[in-house]
This record gives sequence, C-alpha cells and structure tokens, in this order.
Amino acid sequence: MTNRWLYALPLLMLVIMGGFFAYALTQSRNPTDIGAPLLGHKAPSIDLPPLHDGGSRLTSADWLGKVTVVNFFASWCAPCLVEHPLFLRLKSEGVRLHGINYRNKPEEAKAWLGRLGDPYERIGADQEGRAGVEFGISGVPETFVIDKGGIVRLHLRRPLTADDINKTILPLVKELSK
Amino acid sequence: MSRERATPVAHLRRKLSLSPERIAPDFKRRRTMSRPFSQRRKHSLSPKVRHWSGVLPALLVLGISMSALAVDPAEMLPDRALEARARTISAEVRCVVCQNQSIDDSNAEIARDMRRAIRERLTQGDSDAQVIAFLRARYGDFVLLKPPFDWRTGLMWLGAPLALLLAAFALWRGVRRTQARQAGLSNAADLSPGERARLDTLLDEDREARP
Repeated sequence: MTNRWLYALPLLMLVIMGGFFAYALTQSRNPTDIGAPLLGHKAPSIDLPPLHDGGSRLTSADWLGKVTVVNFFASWCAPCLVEHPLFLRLKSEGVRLHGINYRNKPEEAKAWLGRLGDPYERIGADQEGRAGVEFGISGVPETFVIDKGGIVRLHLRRPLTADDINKTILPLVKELSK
Repeated sequence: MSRERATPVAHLRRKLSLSPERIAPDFKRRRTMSRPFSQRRKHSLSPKVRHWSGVLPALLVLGISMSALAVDPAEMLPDRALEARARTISAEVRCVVCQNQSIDDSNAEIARDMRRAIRERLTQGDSDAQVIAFLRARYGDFVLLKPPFDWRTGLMWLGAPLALLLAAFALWRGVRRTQARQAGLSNAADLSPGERARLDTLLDEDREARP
C-alpha cells in the first residue's frame, strides 16, 4: 500500500515544480529586480559637501522634522533630464526636496541646473559615489521619500512619471505630513 | 603529359593539340594537377604548424584573461590581511548592475564604489559579517551571490539533496522487495506434494490458455 504512494511522488514533485515554473513564466516577474531593502528602515547617515558654493552641507539631519523627497541625479543622466520638470512641480507643491548629485563634475551639474531650473532646497555633491552605496542605489535616477522620523517610506529605482507624482508621491507626502 | 583529365574539352584539346606548355612555354605543370583527386594535399600547412597555431593562442588568451582583474591597484589596501579579506568578501558580493558577476570581477562604476566601501568599512574595524550585513541592509539578499539559508530559501537549498535521498530510499525499497520476492520464490521447495501437484496443474492450464 505504501509503495503505491511512493510511485506517485516523482509525479507530484514534477507537478509542484511545474507550478513554480508556470508562476515564474507568466506573472511578469522581473528577476533582476533588487527591490527596496531600505523601506521601513532609517535612512542612512550621510554628510555631503554642498554643490553650490556658499550652500550648506547635506546631512541626515536635514530630513528630520518634515517629510522629505531625496533624489539622486546627474547631468550626464538622460532620464534625469526627462523627469526634471516633475521635480519643479513638486517644489511648487511645497514638498521639501533635497538632491544628491551623483558622480558629476560640479561645473557640469551647475550648468545643467542653471539651464533647467533648480528645484532642490539643498544639493549634496557625491562625487565618489559613497552616499550612493549608503543608500543602496544601482543607478541614477533614484528617488526616496523619507518621513519626519527619518524612516524611508518609498524608494523608486527609476525615473518618475506624472502618475508617480499624482498617485503615489503627493498622496504619500500628504499622508505622512499629518 | 602522362594523364589526360576526362573533361568535356579533352577531346577538343587533343584535336587542336593545344597544351598549356605550347601556349605559355614557361608554364610549370604542378604535381597536384596530375594526381587523382583523392590523393590531393588535404592541408596546406604541416601538422606541427597547425597544432601550435591552435595551442599557442589558446594559452595566450587563457593567460591574459586570468590576469585581468577589475580591482585597480590604487584601490588596494596597504594592509595585506585586510586586502585579502576585502577580496574574499568582494568575490561573494553580486554587482547590482551586471548581476551575474561579482564586484571583484566587474568593471562597473557601482562595483568600484562598493569595493571601496567594503575596504573603508574593513579599515574602520568591521568584521566580515558586519560588512556583509551592511551591504545586505542596503541592497537586500540579492546582493549575495550565494543565497542565505533561512526559512524562505530552505526548500531551495534542501530540495535537491532531499530529492536524491527520496530516490535512494525508493531504490532501496525496490531492491528489498525484489530480494524478498526472489526469496519467496525459492521457498517453492517447501510446498507439500499435494500443493505441488495443484501448482503444476494450474501452471499447465495457464500454459495452455496462452496462445
């Protein structure tokens, strides 16, 4: 009697594996997706020199007390150019926005911002990419929403779209600002 | 002109008595043209030349590729032991851009930044486990080339050995049963004469029943 069920075991294992394969192949999983491991954790502590001469440094104390959006950008990054107008919009909505200029020559970054407009309250210059590793970025642009207590609430590893602003970020900022 | 090739124009050439030697007096008839096709030279280079022209480039490529390191000499730590630890850790960390290379092998800028971050943490006195935890907190479990062993990945790690054990067990049971059946058959000598006779009758009927 036990033997009969033992014969069914390989078939059962095949069916289970088939189920996993079907899920992986049909559910549009992105196997290269790293996810957002910082969600729910305190934003890393950083201390970056200012991009603009005469500006103030960007440290982790700068996002305490008020909901902040932190954006990694660079002048050599094409998607950053595309999402830039959305940050001007965020600024006009009264959202506190800090920028981290990632691996960029200061003159080029300043020229880029001068051409397009500067929506950032403070900009830290991360020329060595160290702050990037602290935040766990895998490229530019990446955007973080940090709440009053310094906890990361949203991490988008891609350029923002208008939908992101309208449907995700603005409601979230409003929610966290209560 | 020993052998005439059987080409369509051969008879015409004989008729016109035109040979290459008459048209161009300095024409040298090559040996290969008068041999049968099956006796032609198979290769133009000698076997030794052909052998080494394959082996040497392979060795060269192998040698060069083994010396290609992504780690910049300027990145290396002066402390040998720390540098060795950094290299060991780097070899286990996935480059998040290339994703199937370790940061030790990858030429990506992010890999370079991660290598430098590792060396910085090691110089500040972190243990290997602390450095790995630092990276895992920021990049997730995917950053480790060897997935960690916890309740989610347990089935992945144990699945194959488990399948092997099950198969071995099933095989053992099968062997045991075959042995038992054979042992059972060899007990046929224990039948009483009456039972033996019944058995023979039944077997005869069975043999006759089959076409």
